[in-house]
Amino acid sequence: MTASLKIAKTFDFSGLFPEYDQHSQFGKDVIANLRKSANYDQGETVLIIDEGFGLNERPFALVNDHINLTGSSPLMGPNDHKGPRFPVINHVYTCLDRDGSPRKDIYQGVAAGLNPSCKPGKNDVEFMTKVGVDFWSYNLVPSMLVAAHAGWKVLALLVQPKSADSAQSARSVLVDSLKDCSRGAQ
Amino acid sequence: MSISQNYLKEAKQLIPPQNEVNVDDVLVTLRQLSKEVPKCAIVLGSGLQIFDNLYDSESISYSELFSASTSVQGHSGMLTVGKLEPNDSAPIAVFRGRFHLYEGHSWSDVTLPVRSIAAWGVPKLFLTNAAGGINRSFSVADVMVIDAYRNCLAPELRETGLLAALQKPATNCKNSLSDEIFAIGQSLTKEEGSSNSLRRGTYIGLHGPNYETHAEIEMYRRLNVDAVGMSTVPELEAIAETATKAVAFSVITNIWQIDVKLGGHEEVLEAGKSASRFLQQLFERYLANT
Repeated sequence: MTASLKIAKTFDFSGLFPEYDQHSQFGKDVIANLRKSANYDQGETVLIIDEGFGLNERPFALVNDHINLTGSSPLMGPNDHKGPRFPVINHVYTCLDRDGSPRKDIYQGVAAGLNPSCKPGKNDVEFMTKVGVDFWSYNLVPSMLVAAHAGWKVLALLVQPKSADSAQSARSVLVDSLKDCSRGAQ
Repeated sequence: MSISQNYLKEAKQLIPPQNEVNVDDVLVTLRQLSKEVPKCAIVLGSGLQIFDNLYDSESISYSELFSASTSVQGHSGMLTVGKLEPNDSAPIAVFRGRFHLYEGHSWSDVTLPVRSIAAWGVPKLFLTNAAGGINRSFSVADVMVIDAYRNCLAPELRETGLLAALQKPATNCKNSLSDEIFAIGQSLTKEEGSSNSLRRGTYIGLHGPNYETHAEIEMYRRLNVDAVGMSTVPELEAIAETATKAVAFSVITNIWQIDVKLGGHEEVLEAGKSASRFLQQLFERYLANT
């Protein structure tokens, strides 16, 4: 039996979904917001929308796993005591519909999280493909790490940068159907 | 300027040391603790507990010695100097626990113990850690001699990311001491019928502190990494610049499979108990002949 999906919070880094919390890039405000709104260990889901690169012609994709290539982690330093020192994050990404059904109709893959200073060249892209990366983004992975530490499940959506058409496509296929799944809604 | 010195310079810029203690300060305390220079130093990682009953032993806490403490469960943060046998001419030094970058310590802080060991004139150093097994042929509580490592902990990588670093080959750290101790370990496993196997392989040092994702583990397998952990690489880099000869060992605390539910840090501590017995036998046998 699959549990229904409850989107309790949405963070948008793409700037294409103004109806949600807007953040231009990952930082202390995102960390604070994720922790403040977390219901620790309640299994609630946060929807994180970020710009996706390497999507080729696809307007958007769901993330089913990640590889952290940022060279850092927002969880370094003294541990926020509400979450574990060493979080296990293997089953944090979800690709479910609101009724708990797997979204096999949407392109999914492994996202690399890159450092903001990194603009990958041809050799870098070939290397990433070789080690299992399907596409990459800049804000999703650090946000996911903080979310996982705070007990969230994560539904991660990557959209083509600055593409209103891609955002519209993602809305019609996925985002609009999740709108009334927010915390407190039946 | 060497690569390690570069790292140290960068480290100081990115995260300043959290204490004002330097190697010279530590040396004064170490020489008060023991008049004789130890013939060997051992740094114990998570869950490893060996050489609890040394003769003529003296102990000091890390907070007294380094003006810093470790916050990690399974790291007691104590140095004990003592003899294996009453008539031994020289003691050994057992460092119980280490500082980690993920705790917020700087590269300089993390390498202070091994730089102090080298400055003290200790000729041999055994570094141990708890690590996840990437190599599918490994088993829980196996011990791996680190022949090579990948450094994803260097401070400048926080500014650039890992893409360039991962496309370079692993750094070789195999030496005559690692060959010697591996041969002793093989004899030991045959003689004693030990359930712990001694392996050799490549270690990757990552910041963590989260455990890795499945996609990350698959990437490390494609890069021929055998074990993954959150320490030891800074110490290996620092000690390579000195006259002290070092060998590092990973205790395998779990084997990554897609359907395995990880037990977290408790699993790490449990595997450490089994490997502790094996490591103590291995070190005793080596040290009996030195």
